[in-house]
Formats: sequence, C-alpha cells, structure tokens
Amino acid sequence: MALQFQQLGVQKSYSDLELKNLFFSLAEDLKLPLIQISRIAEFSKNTNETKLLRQIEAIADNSLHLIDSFILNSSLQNLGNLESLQPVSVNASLQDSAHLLSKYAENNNCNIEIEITGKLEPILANPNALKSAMINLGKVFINYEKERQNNSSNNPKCYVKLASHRTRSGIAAGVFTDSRSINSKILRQAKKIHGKAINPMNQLVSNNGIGIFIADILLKQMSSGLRVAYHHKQTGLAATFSPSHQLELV
Amino acid sequence: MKSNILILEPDRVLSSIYSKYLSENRYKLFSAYKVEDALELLDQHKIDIILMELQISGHNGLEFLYEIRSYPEWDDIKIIINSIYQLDNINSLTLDLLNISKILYKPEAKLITLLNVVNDLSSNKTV
Repeated sequence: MALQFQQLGVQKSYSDLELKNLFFSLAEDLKLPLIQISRIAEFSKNTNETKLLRQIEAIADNSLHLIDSFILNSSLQNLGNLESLQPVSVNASLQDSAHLLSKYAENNNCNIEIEITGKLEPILANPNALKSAMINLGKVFINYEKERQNNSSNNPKCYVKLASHRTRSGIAAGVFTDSRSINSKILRQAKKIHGKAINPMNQLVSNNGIGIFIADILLKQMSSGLRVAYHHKQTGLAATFSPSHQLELV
Repeated sequence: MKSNILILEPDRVLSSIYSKYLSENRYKLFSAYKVEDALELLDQHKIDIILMELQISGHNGLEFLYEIRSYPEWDDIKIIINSIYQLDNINSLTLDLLNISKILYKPEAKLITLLNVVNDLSSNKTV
C-alpha cells in the first residue's frame, strides 16, 4: 500500500514550519476583510445604506471560507492522506467550484468560464479539498484580474477560466487568465517567502494572496501541488492529478 | 477652510469608506489606488494632507514618500500613514527625514480616530 501510494506521487504531509508559515499568512490576510467590516459597520451606523450591509455580508462570507479552507487542510493532515482520497470527477468538481465562485465573481464584476476538454477519467482526490482549492485559487485570480482591470486604461475584460486537460503525467486542473504576469519564478519565490515576508505575491496582488498557498497545501494532499501551467493561450496555476483506476471496470 | 486630502489606499472598499466619511465632515477628497495616480493628483491639485497605506501593489510606499519630499513645493504637505502592518522597523530617523505627521495602525484606527487626526493637522496642532 505504501508503495502504491508513492507510485501515485502523492505528497507527504506539510511540515510544522510550512503550516506555521501558512497560518501566519492566513492571519495577515484576514486583517483586511475584518478592518473593512469594522469600518463599514462604523460608517453605516448613521445611514440606511443596505448596499453597505451586503458588502459586510460578502466580506464576512469570504473570510469564513478562507478560515474553513485552512481548517479543512488541518483536518486532512490529521486524518491521513490515504483515507481521505477517493475517485473524483475533475470536471464535475470544476463545475461545482465555478458555481460557488459565481457570486464572488459577480460582486467583483468579473466573469467565470469553464472549459472542460472531453471525457476525463476520475482522479484520486479529496472532493472537498479539491473544490476548496479551486475556489481559493479562483478568488485570488479574480482579485488579480480586478486589480489589473482597475490599473489599466484599456479596460480589459475581467474573466477567469477554470479548466482541465490531459497532460503526459496525468490530468491537470486549475485556473487561468489572459495575463502573462504569472510565471514560475514569481510562484517559486512566493512559496519560499510566504509566512516570512509581507506580501509575497507583490507583483500580482496587493494582499498576501493567501488563497494560492492554501490551494497549494490542499492540492499537495493529492497531487504534486500548484505550478504555473498553460491552457491553450492562457496562463494560470494548476495541479496535475493521477487518474484513478478504481472505476475502470465499471 | 477645510483641507484637501489625498487618499492613497489600494483597497477600494476602505478608500471609499474613508472618502465618504471625511467628505461628510466637509473635507475635499481625492482618491488614488496607485502611486502614479497619486503623483498625477498632486500635480493637478493643491493637496494639504496625504492619508496613505505603505503597502501598495507593485510599489514601495516609502519610495513614494522620498519622491514627494524631494520636491520643495510639496514640503508642506502633511502625511498620515495608515498602515495595515506594524511599522516597528521604520526607524525614527527615517520618519523625521520624511516629515511624517502621524503613523496609525489600521486595525486600530477607527474612522473617528482618522477624523480627529485630520482635524488636528488641519488646524496645525501638533499631533
């Protein structure tokens, strides 16, 4: 069983230091939404603006999702990898994730697209962790696209794509955009310094980009983790999964 | 007469709230989310106070401050740093050199605190 597990190329648990760094990044990233909630609440004490209350609700929901993702990862670590993995349809998972991201995208005037290439075999994964990872990634990319749109005079269309495709080493699934700013060097550097430096993804987003690191740690439970990837002419972050052979005879 | 305030804040939610709150208290507000826009506004308008975050996407807020202080015509602009991070490692020499009027820690700086600081700076009190 241990050999099979190794052959699947599944990562071992994160070390204590990596978890500590992730927790540090999470804590720093949660400051901003909590400040937003506090200031909006302070401001709206004397107004009847329901739009502000909706903003508070959205911010609180997103923060809770971030915390939940972190807790999910911690519980997966405690459960042990083998018990938490099962055959999962990556396309169905992407569709679910896109649906759950749609409200966040709408609030940020961004479109979500899904591109599913043909019929892909099930992958060995934890369904909740996979969905959570894609949602976290999706949110970081939406923020990134939104900032890019705000900073550009051309007013580029704001959209992110959740996509999957077959690769030589398995099935890749991730989030992609038209931007060329994401590259391996930035990702590698950010993974090295997150938890130790403020704003490790400075070139991309103005906050800590914690969603990427949470997605990475969740995906490492069932794949080799996040890497820069390409989907047709788009760049993004994706993980490659091994197909599950458990349902081949079904 | 109330001061003109430039808010340099990359987070649009906070920028909007600060702007609404201070303009309700009769200040004239200009908002920038990035350094280039802030410099353009400084060129176009007479700004009395800058309320800014140091952590700006793709830029170092300290470099922006050094740049402002390099222009004599902007010497009198009062600067309030309202940062999401603790600024223990910026030494007092740097602060003196950059003539920063007040440093606030964003998680603790309520809107009313901001208003009090801005009021005091507007009336030239030592803050």
